[in-house]
Amino acid sequence: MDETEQHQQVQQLLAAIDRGENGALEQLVELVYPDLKRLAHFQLAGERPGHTLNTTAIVHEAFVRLSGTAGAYTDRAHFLRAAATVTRHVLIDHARKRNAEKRGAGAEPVALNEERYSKADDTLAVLELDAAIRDIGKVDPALERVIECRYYAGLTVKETAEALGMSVRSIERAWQKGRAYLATAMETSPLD
Amino acid sequence: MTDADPKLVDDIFSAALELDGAQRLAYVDERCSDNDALKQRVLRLIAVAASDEDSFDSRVEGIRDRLRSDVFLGSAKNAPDAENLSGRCAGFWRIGRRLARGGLATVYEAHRNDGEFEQRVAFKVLRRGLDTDDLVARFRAERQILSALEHPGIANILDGGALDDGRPYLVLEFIDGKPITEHAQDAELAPLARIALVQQVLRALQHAHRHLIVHRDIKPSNILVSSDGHVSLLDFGIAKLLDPEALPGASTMTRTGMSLQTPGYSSPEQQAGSAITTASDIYQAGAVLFELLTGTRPRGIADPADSLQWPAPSSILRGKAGYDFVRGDLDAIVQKAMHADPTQRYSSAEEMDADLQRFLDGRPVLAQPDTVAYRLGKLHKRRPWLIPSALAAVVVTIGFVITLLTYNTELRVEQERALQAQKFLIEVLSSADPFRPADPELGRDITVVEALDLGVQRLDNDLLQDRELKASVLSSIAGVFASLDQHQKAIRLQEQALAIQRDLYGPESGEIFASLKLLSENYRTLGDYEQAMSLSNELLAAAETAFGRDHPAWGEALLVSAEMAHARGEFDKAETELHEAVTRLRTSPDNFARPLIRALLMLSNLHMYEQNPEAMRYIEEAEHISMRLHGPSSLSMALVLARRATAHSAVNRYPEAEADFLESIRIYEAQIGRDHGATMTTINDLGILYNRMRRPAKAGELFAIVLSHSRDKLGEVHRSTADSYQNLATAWTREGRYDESIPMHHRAYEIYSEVLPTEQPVIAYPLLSKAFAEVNSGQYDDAEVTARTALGIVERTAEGSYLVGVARCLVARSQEGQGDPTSIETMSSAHSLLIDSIVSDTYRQFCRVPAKQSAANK
Repeated sequence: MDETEQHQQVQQLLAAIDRGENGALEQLVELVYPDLKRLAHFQLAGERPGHTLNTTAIVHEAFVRLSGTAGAYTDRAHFLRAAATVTRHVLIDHARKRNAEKRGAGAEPVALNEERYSKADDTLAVLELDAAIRDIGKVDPALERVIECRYYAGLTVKETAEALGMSVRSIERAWQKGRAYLATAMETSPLD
Repeated sequence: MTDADPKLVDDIFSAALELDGAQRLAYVDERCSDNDALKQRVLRLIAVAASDEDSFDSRVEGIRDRLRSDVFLGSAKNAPDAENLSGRCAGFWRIGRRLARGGLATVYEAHRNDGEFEQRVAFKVLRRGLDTDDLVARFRAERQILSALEHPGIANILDGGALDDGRPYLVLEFIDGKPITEHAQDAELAPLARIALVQQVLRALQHAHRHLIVHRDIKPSNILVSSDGHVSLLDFGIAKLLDPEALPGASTMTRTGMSLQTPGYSSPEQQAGSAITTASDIYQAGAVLFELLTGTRPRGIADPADSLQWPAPSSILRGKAGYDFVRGDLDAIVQKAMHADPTQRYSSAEEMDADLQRFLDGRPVLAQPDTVAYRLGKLHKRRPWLIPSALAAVVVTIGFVITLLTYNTELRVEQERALQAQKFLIEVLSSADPFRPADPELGRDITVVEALDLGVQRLDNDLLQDRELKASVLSSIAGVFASLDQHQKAIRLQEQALAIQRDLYGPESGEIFASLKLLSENYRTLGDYEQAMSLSNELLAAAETAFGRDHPAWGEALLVSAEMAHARGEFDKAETELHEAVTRLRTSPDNFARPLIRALLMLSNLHMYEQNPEAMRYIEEAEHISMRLHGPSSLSMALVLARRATAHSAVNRYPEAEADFLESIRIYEAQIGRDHGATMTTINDLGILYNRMRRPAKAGELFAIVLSHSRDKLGEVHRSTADSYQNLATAWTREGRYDESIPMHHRAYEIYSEVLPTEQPVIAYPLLSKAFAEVNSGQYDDAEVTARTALGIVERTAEGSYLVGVARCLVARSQEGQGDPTSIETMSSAHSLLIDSIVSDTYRQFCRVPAKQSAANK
C-alpha cells in the first residue's frame, strides 16, 4: 500500500469511528500498530539502560505520519480525538491480552529489556486504572475524554482543548480533577 | 473505601474546587456531614488536586510508560533480535560482554585481538534486520564526518568496519566513568566543582560546533566523568545518526507544529519539531547545569510555547544551606542557556563557558540583564555586526552567526535579506546532519559536501551581505572542505573570506591569522609554493604584529613557514624556525597540541638522517602529548606512528617500522578513509620501506595505488605525482621490469623539471635510477646519455656529494658496456666519493665499492 492510499484509509477509518461504526477502531489500530512499533525501536536507538522511552513522541509521530502533514486532513480536532482513543485502545487491549496470557500460561514471559521490567508487573494495575477511568466516565463523560487525551495519548493542554473543542482554561480545570482521580485510583489499588 | 457514591463525590469535589481554602473545607463539612467515607474521599481528592503538578503520581505515569514500551517494543517472543556476539571476532576486535542494547544498535565491550597492545573499547553494531542499504550507507558515511572530531572531551571513534554478514560496526573509545550527575553526587562535589564539569562539556561542544556538528542529545547519561574528573561526551553524532527524525519520510514531522511533551532534556525547538541548531545543545547544557545545581531535572511545563522561562534554580534551592550564591548570576546563566527562544541563548558554547568563568572569577556575567550585556544587546540590535569584534571573538562559530542573523531579523529594513541569510544557514547547518534532506524536492538525502556546495552557491549569489558574517561562514565551510581533503574548494572560499577580513580588520590583524594559515597550508598541499610562501610570510607578519614573538601563535606561524621551507628543500631554515616554534608552542602545549606535535615530528625528521638520538626524543615528546590529549587511536597518533616508523627505518629496524606504519595506516583508514591524502602518504612511506626491505613486489603494489590516486586528485604535473612515478618505477626496476620502469623514471624527471622552481638534486634522482635500469637491461648508449645529464645536475647542485659519485659510477658502467676503456678512470673517481659515504647496498654492489669500507660503514 502506498502512502497516499494509506492516508486515505486513515481518513476513512477516522470518519467511520466518528460515526460509531463497528470494527473501525480495530482496523485503524491494525493499520497504525506496526508503524508505532517500528518508530519505537528507532526512538530507542542510542538510549542507555534506565532511560524512559519517549513514547508520547512516538504516538504523535505515528499518527502524523499516517495522516499526512498537518494541512492534509480537514479536521485536526477530529484527528487528535481519534488518535487519543486509538492509543488508549492499543494500550488497554495489550494489557488485557497480556493478563490473559499470564493467567493462561502461568509463567512470566522472558523480558527483553530487563531494566524496563525490573519493577513488579503492573498489567493488573493498568486494567484497574482503566476501570477507574471508565467509572469516572459514567459520572463525567467529558472528563474521561480529557483523561484519554492527556494521560493515554499525552496531548498537551492546548492540543486537548483543540481536540475536544473546549477552552484551555476548562481543560486545565478538568485536568486538575483528572489528576486527582488518577492518583487516588492508584492509592486504592490492592496492588499498592 | 470507594463506597462513597461516585456521582456525589464528583459533585462535591467539583463544587469545592471552585471555592477558596477556608470556604472549601466548610463546604465539604456541610455536604458530607454524616458520611465519613464520602468526606475522606473528597478531601483526599482535593488535597491531590491542589498539590503541585510535580507531585503527579509518578506511578501512574510509570505504568503508562512501561505499558507503552511493552506495546511498542514488543515482548521477547516477537523481538527482532536476540543475538549475542560475545566471543566473536571482527577485524582487530574480540567482542566481549554485551553492555547495552538500543533500538537500532547493540553495544558490546571489546578488546584488541592482535596482541599489539591492550585496548578496551565499546563495539557498536547495527542490529540484525535493520541493515537496509540505506541505514548501512548512512552508518558508514557518518564515520568520516565524526572522525573530524578530535578533542580530549569527546569519546573518539577508533575504527569501523563490517561483520561477515555486511552489517556495519563502529568501535568507540571505552569510557570508564559515571554519568555526570551520578559522579557529582557520589563524589559529593562542591557546586563550584560542578560548574567546572559543565565547562568541560562546553569546551567539547564548542569543538563539535566548529565542525558543524550538533550533538542534539546532551544529557547526563551521555556525559561520563572518570574518577579523576575527566569529562567525556559520548555518542557524538551517533544519536543523530540514529535519530528517528533523520529517517526518510519522517521529515513531515517537522512541519506539523505539534509540540511534544518530553522529559526535561529536549529543547523547545526539538519538542516543536523545528530546525535544530547548535543553540539546542546550549539549551541541553543549561539543563545539565540546572540538574547539577538543584539535584532535580528541569520539570516540564505543560506547553513550552506558553512560557518563556524555566524556574530559576535558586527558587528550587530556596532555604537549602550553602546555596545562596546560586541566586543572581547563576540563575541568570541557567536561564539564558535554557531560554525558550533559541536566539536569546548564549550564541556559542564558548560564550557560555566564558560566562561561567566570569562567575567563578567573581566578575559580572553577560547573562545578567541591565549590565554590559544589556548595553551590548542594545548596540547589537542597532549594529549587529559590530559586536563580535567587541567580544574579540576570533573564531566565530556557526551558532554565533545564527544569533547575529536572528538579531538581524529585528531590523525591518533588512528583514528580507536576513531571512534569506537565515535560510541559507539553516540549510548549511542541517547538512551537518547528512541524513536530513536539505531540499525536500530533491527527495533524497544529500551528503555534507553536497550540502556545503549548495550553501556556497547561495553565498556566491550574494545572499549574505553582512560582510563579517559572510567571512565567518566562508571560513567555517573552508575549514570543513580542507579537513575533507578538498583543497581547491577550501582555497577558493578562504580567499574570499580573507579579502573581506583584510578589508575589515587591516592587513596584519589577529583576525586574519587563521585564514592565512589555512590558505598557505592548502596552497602548499596543492604544490603552489609561490603562493604558499607569500602567504606564510604574511602570516609571520600578522602573528608578530597581533600577538608578539612571545606568543604561541608566533610559534604556529613559524611552523607554517618551516613546513614551507622544508617542502622547498631549505632544511637549515626549516630547522632554525622549528626550534623556535617548539620553544613557543611548549609554553601552551594543551591549546597548541596539534602544531606542537607537528613541529616536533618535523624536527625529528630533520635529525633522522644524521642518526641523531634527538630524533627519537622529539618523537617521544610528540607521542606523549598526543596520547595524553587525543588517545591511542587518534589522527595525531597516526601521524606520530608514521614518523616513528620512518625513524626506525632510518636505522634499519624494519620490523618495528613496518608495524608502526601498518598501525598508522589502520588508524587513518578507519578515521578518514583510504582516499585521504594523509592515508596515501603513509601507504607511500610503507612502500618505500618495502623497497628497502627488498620486497619490491609488495612495494610496487602500494606505489601503484598511490600513483593512480595522485594523478586523479592532484593531476599529472604535480610534485607528488612525480614522486609516485619515481617510486613505482624504482620498485619495478628492482624487480627487473625495466621496459616498464624506464619510461616511468623519465616521466618523473620531466615533471620534476617542470614543477621545481630551481635546479636541485632531486631532479637527478629519476635519471640516476633510469640509467641504472638502462645499464642493467644492456642499453648502454642510452644509459650514458642519461647518466651524463644526471651528472651535470648533481655537479651543479650537490658538488662533492655521494650523488656525484653514483652518477660517475653510472657513466663508468655504461662506458664499460660500450667497451670504452676510460670507464676505469671514471669508476675510480666515483669510488673516491663513494668510499666514505652511506650508499644503499644496491648501488654499493653496482658500483663495486671496495668491501672493506662497505663493512665498516654498514
